[in-house]
Amino acid sequence: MAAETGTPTTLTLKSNDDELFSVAESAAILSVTIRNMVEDGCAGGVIPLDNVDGKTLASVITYMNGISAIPADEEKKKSYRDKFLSDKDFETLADMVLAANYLNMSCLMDAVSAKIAQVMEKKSVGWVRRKFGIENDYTPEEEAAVKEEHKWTFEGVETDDDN
Amino acid sequence: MKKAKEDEARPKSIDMISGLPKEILHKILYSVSQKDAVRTSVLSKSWRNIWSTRTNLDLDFSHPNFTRSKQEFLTVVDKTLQLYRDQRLCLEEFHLSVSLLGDYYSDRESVSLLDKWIPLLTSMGVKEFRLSILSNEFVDLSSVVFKAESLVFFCLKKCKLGEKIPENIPFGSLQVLRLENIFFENEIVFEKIISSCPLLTTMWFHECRGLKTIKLENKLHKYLKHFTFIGCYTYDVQDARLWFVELSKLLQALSPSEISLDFVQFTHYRIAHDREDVLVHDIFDCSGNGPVAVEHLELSSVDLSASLYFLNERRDYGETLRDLEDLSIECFDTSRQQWQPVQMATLLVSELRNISRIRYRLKWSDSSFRKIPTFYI
Repeated sequence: MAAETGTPTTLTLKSNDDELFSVAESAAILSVTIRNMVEDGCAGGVIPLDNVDGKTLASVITYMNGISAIPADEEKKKSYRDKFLSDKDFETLADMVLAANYLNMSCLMDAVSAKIAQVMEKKSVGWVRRKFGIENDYTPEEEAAVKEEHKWTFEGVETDDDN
Repeated sequence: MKKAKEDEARPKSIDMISGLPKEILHKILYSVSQKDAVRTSVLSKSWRNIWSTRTNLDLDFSHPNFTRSKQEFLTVVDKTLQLYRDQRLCLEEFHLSVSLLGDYYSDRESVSLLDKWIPLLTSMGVKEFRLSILSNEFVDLSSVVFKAESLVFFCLKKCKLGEKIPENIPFGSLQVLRLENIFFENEIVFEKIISSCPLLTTMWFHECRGLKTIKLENKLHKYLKHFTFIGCYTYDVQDARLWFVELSKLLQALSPSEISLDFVQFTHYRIAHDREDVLVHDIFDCSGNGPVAVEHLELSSVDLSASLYFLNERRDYGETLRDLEDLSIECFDTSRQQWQPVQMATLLVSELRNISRIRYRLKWSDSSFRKIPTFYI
């Protein structure tokens, strides 16, 4: 369906805060969610994306355009992804992983998940809690019990002042 | 799951991760180590069991992945598997790396645990099973390991194989077979193993004993890419040279892209250098069909001057090695644990006794054979 004419088709995407974005169909269909909409013939007007805000959508579209401009070369695509994600803070990454999940874009989803995972690598519990703003709702006794249960996982972890 | 958002009194720290959908958290945890994943259980109550929604388990008893006692390791593996089974959690990939070295009692315990775990994995529907065992040479693991279905990667060190080999070995998915320091009590064992593995891409034998024949078949082993045969004893083979020639022929027929062979046998048999040349020649020459697509050849314990002379000569003649663009030689530096390029001229004149492993890198003009796989670990 998508490639019937020679001229590139442009789609209009609408974020949940009513921002409109134009994007080439060939780039937008990296999202399986959008592709399904296009195939079902819903692409005539504006495609509403109710779970993505304008700021995140703008970022996702930058990614869509960037990655689809790279020919089939996995290595180059990977280095583009790495570069694209390198300056994103955690808040942006969390928004992006939700958007990628909603838009069903597995390549972005995998890359963002791996990036978030990287942040946790070898880090102490205290550090991860602070970094991600996780509130410790264990009682000291409960926490000690869980720690005891998995004590092998506490060796070789980067030391932390409030561990 | 949702508890983390309830009493958010602190202004600064908004928890952005705990509220993510489960499938995303599971995706994030997929790529961290087992240790990092399990440690998240201490973060907060909602994180208590999230790690176990991972469909992959990677339990490795080697430093620094596991720094506590073997007994503790066995308990962790056992408990983890029990948890997955009792909670009916999905487990698709299972990687176990275990050492049986220890006192007699703990050996027996490890073996009986393996005996319990392996059928369990099958019943849990594991699709990709990677198993590495550093065994104890007095233990015969045949009855245990040959039950392992869905094995994709199998590495076995220090073990004898002989008794209790089942009629059918369920190794239909096996891609990598690495055997080190294995004693085959009879040939049938080995034959049975490799005839049960149609998807093998890598065969790696290191210091194995009792290998009188290696029967590779064109039809059966069509995916074979890497073949290594180093430090294996062939004392019980009547004519080692012939044996190697036969092996070379088999490899030619299969044309794997990477071959490592050991010539230590020839030193023992005091076979003249020209015979070695015959062998090297056999590997390269494919009786008029052009050179075998070997992109990487490692020869250990070989008389270098003879083989270098041979390779050089061949190149000049431009016959069998006509597509060879470049030949570089590297030595394995044991202190740095890495391969170092060396000059051919230096090699020929320098002291060769300290060099235990040498490899040649061959670049063929055909661009499809340029990539040199990273194979040496």
